[in-house]
Amino acid sequence: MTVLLALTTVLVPSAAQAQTLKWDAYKGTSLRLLLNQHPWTTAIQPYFPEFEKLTGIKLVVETYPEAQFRQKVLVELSTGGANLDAFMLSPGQEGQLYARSGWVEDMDNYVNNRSLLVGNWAFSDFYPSVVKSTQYAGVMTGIPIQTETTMLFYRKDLFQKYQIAVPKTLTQLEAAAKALNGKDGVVGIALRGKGAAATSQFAPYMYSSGSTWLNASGEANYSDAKFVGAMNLYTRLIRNYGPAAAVTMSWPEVTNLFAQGKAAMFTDASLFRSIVDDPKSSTVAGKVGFAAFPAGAGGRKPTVTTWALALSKGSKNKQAGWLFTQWATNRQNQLRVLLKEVPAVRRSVWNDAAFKAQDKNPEWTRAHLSQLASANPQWNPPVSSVGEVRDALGQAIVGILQGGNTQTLLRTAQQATDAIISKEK
Amino acid sequence: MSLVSLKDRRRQPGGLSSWLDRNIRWVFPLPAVAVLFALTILPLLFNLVLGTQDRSVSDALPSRFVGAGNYLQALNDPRFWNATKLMFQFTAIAVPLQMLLGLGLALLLNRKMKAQGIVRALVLLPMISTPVAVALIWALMMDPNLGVLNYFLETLGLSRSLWLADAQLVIPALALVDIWQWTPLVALILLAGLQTMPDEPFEAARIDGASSWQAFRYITWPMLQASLFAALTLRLIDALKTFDIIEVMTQGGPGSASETLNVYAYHTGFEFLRVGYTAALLTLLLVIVAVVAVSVNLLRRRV
Repeated sequence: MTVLLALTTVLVPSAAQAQTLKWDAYKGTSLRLLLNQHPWTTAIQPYFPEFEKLTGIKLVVETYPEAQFRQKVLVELSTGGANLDAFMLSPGQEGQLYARSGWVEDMDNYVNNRSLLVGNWAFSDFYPSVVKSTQYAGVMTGIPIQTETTMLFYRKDLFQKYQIAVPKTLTQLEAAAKALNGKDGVVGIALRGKGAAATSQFAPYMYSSGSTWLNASGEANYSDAKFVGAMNLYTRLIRNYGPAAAVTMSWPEVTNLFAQGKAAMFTDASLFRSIVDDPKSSTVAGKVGFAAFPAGAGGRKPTVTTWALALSKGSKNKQAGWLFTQWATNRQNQLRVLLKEVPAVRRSVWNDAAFKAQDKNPEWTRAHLSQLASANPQWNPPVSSVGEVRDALGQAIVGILQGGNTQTLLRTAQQATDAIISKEK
Repeated sequence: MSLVSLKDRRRQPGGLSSWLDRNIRWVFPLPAVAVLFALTILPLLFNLVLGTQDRSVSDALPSRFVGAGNYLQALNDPRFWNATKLMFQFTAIAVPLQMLLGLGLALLLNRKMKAQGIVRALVLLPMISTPVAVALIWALMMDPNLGVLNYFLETLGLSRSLWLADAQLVIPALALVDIWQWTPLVALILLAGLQTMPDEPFEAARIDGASSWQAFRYITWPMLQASLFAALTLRLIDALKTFDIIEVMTQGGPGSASETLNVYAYHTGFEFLRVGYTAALLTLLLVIVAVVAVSVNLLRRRV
């Protein structure tokens, strides 16, 4: 980074007429990429040869299923990351740890450095809330490539049949869940109840109720009255109007239940339209409605989840890696992935005629885009030991769903969380 | 090489080949010892060293020497005790039933029957399936809302069960999968034991008018002891450190109702990134499994 900063300083006086970088500046370099087996990867990978031809850089790509992918990246970075150049990163999960460990390049130094830009890349085109979601501990951990927000999925046919209005508030959400529970063999609402996996989907309920993960002094906020209220609401929805066995449900189970026509509503990531509205995997395809996340006493506060491309600090080919990052996130490639139904992070491509012509579900597009401005990027507590803190709160969620006392269980989770956080200081 | 030249070589004093001849019993196992050292002993020593540190994968988190601190912490960690208890519960349900069913299956397979090869191959099928695939299929069947097992229960007029979502039922449900998968291994070992038995004692017993129960009790059973203990030791060690089916089916949940020691160590290591504490937990697991295995072997010598 020092070298880079020095370079910036030298170039600043002439920045106005600075020659922009050429695509073939790093010809002959070989880049090693680690990618998650994700819809974005599937959509973009076929175009990689174009990049190789344009730049003369050879791409060595490895893709793995998500759990293995995360472990693989973690192991490589914790041992120096010298052989790794660019990789996919989920900042809400790993951002804090990677930033504080000094494992990733601070992309701020790249996006604002005109001498490192190729062509008209236009970073200002990215959604600000999505860009914000990559920033942890003062470091921009990566360049966003795709984004999801929490939204409400509902069964249009049932809402029509029983004349129920689409919920705009959390109070209406509970009323609708109550009204539809047991009708036509469905449960009122399906939500994740599986410990750690539930915490991220509890987050929008927490924010919309006016609470936060941590209090002003950086400790767990679980005894905050609004936090407890949100937890009571979330677990009450599941216990009273949710499926049996919710304590084993993460997103595959929730989306599967909904796709099998056994739930009237669920709230989860907007990306899951591809599962529940696809005739191949869903019996309710075509009957699915999409709405913005219901507002609570604290407003409408869904969360936004981002996948980003990051550069390894130990990499020897950072400049070439940055070329790849720019290419992968340029307007053309963002449009390409959006046309394959991967929610893009550039504002302009959503207005592109090619996308508008093929947009099968403008209702979903509206719900998704309307939320990006107010969405909160911290779907996980902003700590390094995300996994351990999620587990502590997850244990409380499972306990409450099994009939335990909310306040007692949250107090235990709070103590555990504070113990973990205090070690990080 | 002819015999003569061998003798000639041996007569020569000194030289490499004579040194080799004298020390051949050390030289031959050397490659095996080296591999054992690199792949087992070295990691084990490293694990012991790690266990004395409070260490994470990242420098952003603390790293310091704590001596026996991790072990003391484990002994004061309710989750460690819960995990140890669940590990023994799982084993206590799975292994005896596997032994019993395996014995029954072996006795059945030992009889002369039609299509013997096909029947044996079918019976052994669960054992050769990938544990992760087995776990995924069973998790689907046990799904309380969409699974086929509840459908059968209802057809039989019984009430639906939560299976893996029920904190009381999750360990027996997981043990059921383990029994399904590993009973064939027990059967295979016992069948091998049955087939090596000589015919004479059985003929003599028949002539003396022994019933088939008496033949089993006084001839088969004592002669089967060695195989029984072999199968028991193998299954005890494996069941205590079962990881794959539990992690795939429940990840230790709901809550920590099926979090056995191995699964807990996986979580502290790969999810909580607490490398030192995980090393200590795994050392404790190693000690527990070793104690059980040695006890079973001692018992075998006394029987």
